[in-house]
Amino acid sequence: MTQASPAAGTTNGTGTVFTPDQLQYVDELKKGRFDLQWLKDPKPNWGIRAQMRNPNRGLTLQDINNAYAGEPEDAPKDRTMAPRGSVYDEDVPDMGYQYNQKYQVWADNVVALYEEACARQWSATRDIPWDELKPLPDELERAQCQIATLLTEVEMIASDFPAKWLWQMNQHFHEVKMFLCTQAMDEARHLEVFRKRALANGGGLMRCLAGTEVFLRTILHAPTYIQGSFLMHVLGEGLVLDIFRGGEFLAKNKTEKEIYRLCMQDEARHVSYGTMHLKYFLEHHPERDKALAEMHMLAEAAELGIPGFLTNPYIIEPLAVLMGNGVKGMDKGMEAIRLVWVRMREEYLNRCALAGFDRRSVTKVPEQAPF
Amino acid sequence: MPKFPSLDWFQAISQKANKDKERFKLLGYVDANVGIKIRGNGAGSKGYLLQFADYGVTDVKEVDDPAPVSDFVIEGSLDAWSEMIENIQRNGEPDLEHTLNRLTMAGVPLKLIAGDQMQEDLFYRFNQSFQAFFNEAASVPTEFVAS
Repeated sequence: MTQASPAAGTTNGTGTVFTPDQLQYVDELKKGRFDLQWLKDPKPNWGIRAQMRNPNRGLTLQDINNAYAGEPEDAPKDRTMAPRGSVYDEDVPDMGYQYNQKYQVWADNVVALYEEACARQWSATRDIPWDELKPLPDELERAQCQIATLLTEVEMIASDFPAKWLWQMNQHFHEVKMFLCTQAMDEARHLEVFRKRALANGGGLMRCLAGTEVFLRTILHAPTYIQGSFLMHVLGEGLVLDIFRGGEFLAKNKTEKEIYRLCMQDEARHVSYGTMHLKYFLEHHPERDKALAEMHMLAEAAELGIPGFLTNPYIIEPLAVLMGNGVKGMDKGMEAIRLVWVRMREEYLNRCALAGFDRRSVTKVPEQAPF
Repeated sequence: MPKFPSLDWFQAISQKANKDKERFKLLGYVDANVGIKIRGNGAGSKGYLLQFADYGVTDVKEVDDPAPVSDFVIEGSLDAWSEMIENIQRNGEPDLEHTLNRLTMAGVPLKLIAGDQMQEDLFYRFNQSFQAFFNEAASVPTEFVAS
């Protein structure tokens, strides 16, 4: 080895920060000799020209997947961040991924959902007509703030949950990880928009309940991704989707209407992924009967928690006040809550059925609200 | 002036939407076949298929029964549909009681019908675009057929 780089430090005990290989390469560079091995590497994907199926939309993930390496393997042998279909060194380190089987994370609609999510992003700062907020009677403002507090509390679970599992998913299934990143962003925005609503109209943040936190903890600490995904995407977000859908009963002005509508679109994508992931999981699990039995056990326990959520006075009463336009109209509001109950149950059972997970005859969620 | 309901009316709305492409781009693309069924208060029903693709409607057809060719169908009486359109025209957009989501929420006066839950969920996923489409009615002079 000859000259050390002028930038070299003294940290590795040899008077330089560079390894012998690096120093040799630097030496060659100084003599004007380049390595150029990267120009001689195999080029298994050379000459690919992904075509836009639809120029109006742009170059989509589906387009590039149609062109090259678009179909993930069921069980990729490596645990690397190297892009699917690339050439990589044999000694790449093992990233320690725990989810290396396609059925553990995949959904057949996930590629389209990622593109859809990117196309339908919005800003809680810019796209909500905050100047349309008007002072509300105290009971309506309190009710709106109680619900906004609840939603500020629960929405971020759908950012924390995917964040917990993302790094454990093999990067071979990058589309799933990308979609979950959009979900994390969606939910950050939902936290943002409901916190802003609580603090923007003369009210404030209100009460959070231990029972809600217990359910959130169950999701966050679910021992496997499929268990947490079912609890969150299918059950929890399905329920919240119906609350968002009922937002036009809850909204007292254009500001709130827009909040609920935009959140509804986001939430529906997450539920859609969760439903199709459950379907893929059950259809491709190597021990399907065992997996099905485990999921039924989980669903049974989780369903027992739903009535508690929907008979909690801090949840249903502010909803009823908003839907009935005041405490005096709560009876009318409770009618709407009963409607939401039936719809939530029906849509949940429909989604399970679509996933090949028939809960209709065994579900623990009562058919009608008990009030 | 196109009559509501008619193929001409839906085509006029589609043309408006297609001219308003930048607005629809902001909302995001849509992939969905939307059926519209308008019961004529005892005088039979009319069906339409709106093919949403990209940032607008690429085709509008009059069909006997939109259900087999649609992801979901929005069905209601002529009175309910007319009231929604009139409300949009009066306010420039629907008031809180006359959005598609509000009108379909309880199954009356409009009802959402889908083959399965995933198809129904498309109504939620692309809801703002469907609403923006019908909001174009604000600037389409319309002759309402008597019910």
